[in-house]
Amino acid sequence: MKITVIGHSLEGITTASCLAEIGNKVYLTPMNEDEFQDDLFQHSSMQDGGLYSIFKTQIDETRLRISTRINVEDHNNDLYFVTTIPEDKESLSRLLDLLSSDKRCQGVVFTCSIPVGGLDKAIEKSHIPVAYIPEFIREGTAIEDFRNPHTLTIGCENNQLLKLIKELYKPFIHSHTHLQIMTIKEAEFSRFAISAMLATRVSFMNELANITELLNIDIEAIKRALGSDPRIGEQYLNPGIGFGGRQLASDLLQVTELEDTQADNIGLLNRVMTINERQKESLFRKVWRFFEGDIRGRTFAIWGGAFKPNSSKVNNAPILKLIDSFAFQDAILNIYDPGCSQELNEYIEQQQLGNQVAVCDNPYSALDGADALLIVTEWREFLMPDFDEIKLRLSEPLIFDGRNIYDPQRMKERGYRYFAIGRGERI
Amino acid sequence: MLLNKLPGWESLLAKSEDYTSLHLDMLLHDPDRQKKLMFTNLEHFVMDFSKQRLSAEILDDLIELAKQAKVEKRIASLLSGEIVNQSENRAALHVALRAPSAEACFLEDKQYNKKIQKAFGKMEMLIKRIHALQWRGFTGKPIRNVVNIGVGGSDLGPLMTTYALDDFTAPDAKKINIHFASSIDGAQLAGLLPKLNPETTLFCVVSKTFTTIDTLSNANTAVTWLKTAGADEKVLKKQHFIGISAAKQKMTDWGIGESNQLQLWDWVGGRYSLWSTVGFSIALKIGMSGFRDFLAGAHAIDQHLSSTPIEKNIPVLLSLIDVWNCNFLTINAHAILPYDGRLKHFHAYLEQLEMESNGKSVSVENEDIDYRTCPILWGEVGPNAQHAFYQLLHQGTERVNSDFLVAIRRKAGNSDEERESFAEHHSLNLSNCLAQSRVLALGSTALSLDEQMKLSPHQQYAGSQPSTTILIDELTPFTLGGLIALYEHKVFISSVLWDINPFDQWGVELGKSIAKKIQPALEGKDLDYLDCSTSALIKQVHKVLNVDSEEKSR
Repeated sequence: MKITVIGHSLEGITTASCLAEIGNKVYLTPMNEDEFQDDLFQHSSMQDGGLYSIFKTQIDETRLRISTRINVEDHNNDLYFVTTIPEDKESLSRLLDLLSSDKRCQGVVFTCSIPVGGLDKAIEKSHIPVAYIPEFIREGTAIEDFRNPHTLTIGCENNQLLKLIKELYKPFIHSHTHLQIMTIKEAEFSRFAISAMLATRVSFMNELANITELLNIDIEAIKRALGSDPRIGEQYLNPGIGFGGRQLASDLLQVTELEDTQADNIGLLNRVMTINERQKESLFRKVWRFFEGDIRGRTFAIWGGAFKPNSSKVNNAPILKLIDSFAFQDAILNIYDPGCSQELNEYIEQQQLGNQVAVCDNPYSALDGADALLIVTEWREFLMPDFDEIKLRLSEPLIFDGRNIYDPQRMKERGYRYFAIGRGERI
Repeated sequence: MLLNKLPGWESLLAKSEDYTSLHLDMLLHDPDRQKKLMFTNLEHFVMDFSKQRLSAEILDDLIELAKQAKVEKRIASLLSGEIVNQSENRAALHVALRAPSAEACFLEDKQYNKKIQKAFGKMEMLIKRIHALQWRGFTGKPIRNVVNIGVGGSDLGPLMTTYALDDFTAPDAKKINIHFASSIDGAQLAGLLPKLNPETTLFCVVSKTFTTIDTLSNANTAVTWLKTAGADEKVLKKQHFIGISAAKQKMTDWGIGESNQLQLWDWVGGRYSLWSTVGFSIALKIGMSGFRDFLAGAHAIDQHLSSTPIEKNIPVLLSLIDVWNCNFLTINAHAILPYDGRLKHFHAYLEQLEMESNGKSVSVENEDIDYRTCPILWGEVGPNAQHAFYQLLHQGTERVNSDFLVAIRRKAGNSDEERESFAEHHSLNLSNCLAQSRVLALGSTALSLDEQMKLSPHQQYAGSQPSTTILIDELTPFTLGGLIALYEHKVFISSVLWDINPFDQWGVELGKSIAKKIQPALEGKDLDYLDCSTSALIKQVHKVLNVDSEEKSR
């Protein structure tokens, strides 16, 4: 098929690369000409596991071409994929008008996050069939998620277009893949429902972790008990210092807005958000209590910053709140993160905190003279570090672990004071 | 010079006899009256004295009296920072606090403004930290509640102003609740503390001397409350208390760290202190830029006071009206009637400002005064008072002078429908305000002759109660600042006319020291020099407390 993928995002580059890889002729364009990036190889998403090499191969083999703008006349596409959201309803209508002028085009597939019912009006007015596939790739594992999805949800009410999409996705649908066909609006809402459920599980666990701290029991034991119950399952039960990321937070915000329109709203999802925001501060509060509020001028080493391992992103990540909180108290931070140095540096510069917060290129050098080490993201390289060296470099053997990656008993044996979320020493 | 020794006193006294019995109805049908007795020369304000029981001629005579009392010279003394508080040998420099810069300050010595701006700079930093939710309590949670502990000037001004300017809450301040506790009996704290979380509550202890027993006893209760919640005393004093005082060492001794201390100075009187760092809770509420607007509004009045001839000088005129009512018409009650729920605490604020300043009976030279000084002043939000003490104003036997205050514009409501509904409220409010002052002045004659004929005696209104109406464009930080400054300066001018010192308050001291002596008696110590009434009351207290302790030991 001939396909144009619109959007220079992780979603757009992944979709274009994976569709080209199975033989399609794909154009990748930005939504607007002024968003065109000269060198996509420098795009921050290229750090995402394996994306760079597959993208390069498709370009080299000319199945994937880069275009500066949506070129309806020359491309003659069977399908268009819209992976970034148009600015407003008018630009959405204009986009559909433009695409429907492509005589060969058989449909437009939206994969970007769209408010529930956001496509209704545009579809009504447009002559071109439309489908919605909720974004199902995750940052850090984009290629793997696209090639091997656990669930593929297709919102489509046009049989001809549905047939085409199914054919296109056939190489990615495996025996274990759950294929869900539904209306566009149902598909729109299902992605929000999933985000809300995941967020709720995380906040629920964090709430329990706070209680286990009071009861002096280990949240990890409770987590195992919960996870082993087949009605509950193991996923998204990790207590920690809160979730971040662009998507989850913005999805949740949209559902809370819908929630707010109910007259008798109790605000469960609002609470989920509030708990998460509070949780992002929990590590700071432990440090504050430990030092009895006396942290002015102290230095803290932080390992991790990305909102999750294998990501280069810090959107809504707990690290931002930690930086703000420590900086406000005139403390000094040395942060090491293997993936998000660039975004961290941008944030530090934007907040004008260069004289208080430094990004280090080595985890151990970040520790020198620090009063404590804080674990913020559970990158694999932090799981079994050289504890002797950590002890040597820190001024006190003191760790605040926001991701529960170490065993409290072992840490004690190693001579550390160890505080974690719902486990370890209590303050 | 004493008021009744001024050359103009006798002739005014003679003329006043006509006005004592003259009904206001006789004066209020002259179309030229407004030209002479309504003043619009002050931006944002209209002052209408035409419902006062005087004529333009009397006003001219009163202005002459002010000149004889050297009011202009005394205004200059106040503004230039001369010693105007003789009994304590101090200047009263509250005007300097609201000068936006050293250049705009009336004082020669520019150091004052530097000190003031430095203190405001520190105050701004503390506020910024609270607004950013980065002021942390002992468990690291951000502070959400701030309790102002202070009494008198350290309470009334901030309380009145933060309440009045709620519409102007700074966006960052919406997450912070501000509370006030002042009373020595602890009742306010007892009611407040159960609703607050110790982890997220900050106390702001305001006392010029940092020895005020009312304030320190409340602060100590706050310490106990925080300790019970698990905070270490040293830590909690560092993280949960801000001190505002002129006594730095005393704050330090009490346990407040230097970084949490805000400076106040001897030359700021308690009832004028809301313009200083004592206005912390005001700035916390409306933001530092709102607070600067508030100061600017007062500064505009200072400039008016300084540069306007006394014939048109509004604080001078306000004062002359008071003196006329009090000393010539012998009307010794003054009601403050704001037609604006936001000014709910305004009368309490003025009660202190006026009565603590001018409730005195010796002159600056320590002579006995044989004329009346400050009248009894009280008040309430007008529409509510209509259902309470207005009965006395309309049909009682007391003569009362009233101030009607109302904002012409009032913006409220979030939606068009709400705004429309509030607009209707406001028009009702305005019409009530105008109706009440009219009825007070005219009495039953506000009705047509026919209607008057049908009234039985209990339906009659005597009328002829004088009043001043103050119209304000709109209530904002700027105009409220101006309104307060108008009253402050009026009080000062009245003190000049009465020849008293408005800046001391010796009358509040004796009670405090006697209380210190009575406390041991309550605890069982014998005191033989008490009067029979007080001893008997103490015995009654002992009786009840003894029964209590017996029950407890059982």
